[in-house]
Amino acid sequence: MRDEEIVSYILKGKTDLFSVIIDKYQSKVFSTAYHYTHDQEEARDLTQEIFIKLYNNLQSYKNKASFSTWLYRIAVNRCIDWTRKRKLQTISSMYDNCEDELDIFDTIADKAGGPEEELIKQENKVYIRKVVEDLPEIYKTVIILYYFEDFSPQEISDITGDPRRTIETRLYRGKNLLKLRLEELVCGGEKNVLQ
Amino acid sequence: MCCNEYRNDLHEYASGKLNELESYTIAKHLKSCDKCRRESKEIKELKAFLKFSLREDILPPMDLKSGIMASIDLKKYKTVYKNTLGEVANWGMSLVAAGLILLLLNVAPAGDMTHVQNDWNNTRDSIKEKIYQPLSSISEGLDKFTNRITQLDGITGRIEREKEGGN
Repeated sequence: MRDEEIVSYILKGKTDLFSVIIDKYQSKVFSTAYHYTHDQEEARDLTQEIFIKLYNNLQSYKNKASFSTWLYRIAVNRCIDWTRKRKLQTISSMYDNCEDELDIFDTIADKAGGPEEELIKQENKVYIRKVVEDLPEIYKTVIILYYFEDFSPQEISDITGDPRRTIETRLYRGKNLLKLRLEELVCGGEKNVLQ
Repeated sequence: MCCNEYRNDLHEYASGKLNELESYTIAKHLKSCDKCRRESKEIKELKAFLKFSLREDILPPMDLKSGIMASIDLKKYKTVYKNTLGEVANWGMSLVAAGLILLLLNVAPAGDMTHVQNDWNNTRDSIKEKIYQPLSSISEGLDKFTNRITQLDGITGRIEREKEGGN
């Protein structure tokens, strides 16, 4: 059954069918939310909020765009909102990062074999994430959707409502910025992220 | 086409979402352009690097779906549907009533047609009276009003003439 048909059935009272929509999209929505939050619990709450908002606004869905595009538009907008609110809590997020690193040590200690390599990898992950996280908002969204969620520029354009050319330009500039910051980390000798 | 225009399609090309002809055109250009080839290579390498470096199983929690289903109001659209059904039922009843009225009118007494004709003439006259009466009274009122305006115009003319005479 097509998404649009499922939606029309839900609007006619077969609300249980919303579980089909959740089954189909929860992985990708959760993964997107996770790339913004880097936290399982936050991503879970965010995904839950996104689906509830989606359900409550099903009546306003017009068939102009595909249902999945409409869903991801709601998801991305909610994630961007989350990031903006999060920025206001910069100090506490610094503490969170410290806690993350402690968690990494704990995790590595539990693993058998190659703890040093594992440590470097985990540290690199934290730094690479930080580089992505610190990108300006307009680049961060396109980088996450393109590089992590495998959306094409055209699909990103449909989701964000910006022209495809703008998305290509942002991807181009975002990539160069990301590359530059990753290189700074490597050349600065602080972390060997490209290993 | 210049390099900039090809560059606008390189990310789409790398995601494999271009059509056959567009892909062929870009691939052909990449063979002859070092700059775009380097750019395309960078996109692919960064994609691979980020996926490899940050790869982890990002799976949604098992109870996510049940949590969402428990949080939404499952009756929300059932009410709307019920109301819509109610409206349809009302429309149906109205249509049935209208049909019955038409049926009764069509089955009018066919025996004494003169009597029916007279009744109809009487009704028509009374309707005419009811419509004409108020219209004629409105028309009378308007006549009176225009007469008064004409009189007033005469008075103001006389006053102006007296003023001019005084000067």
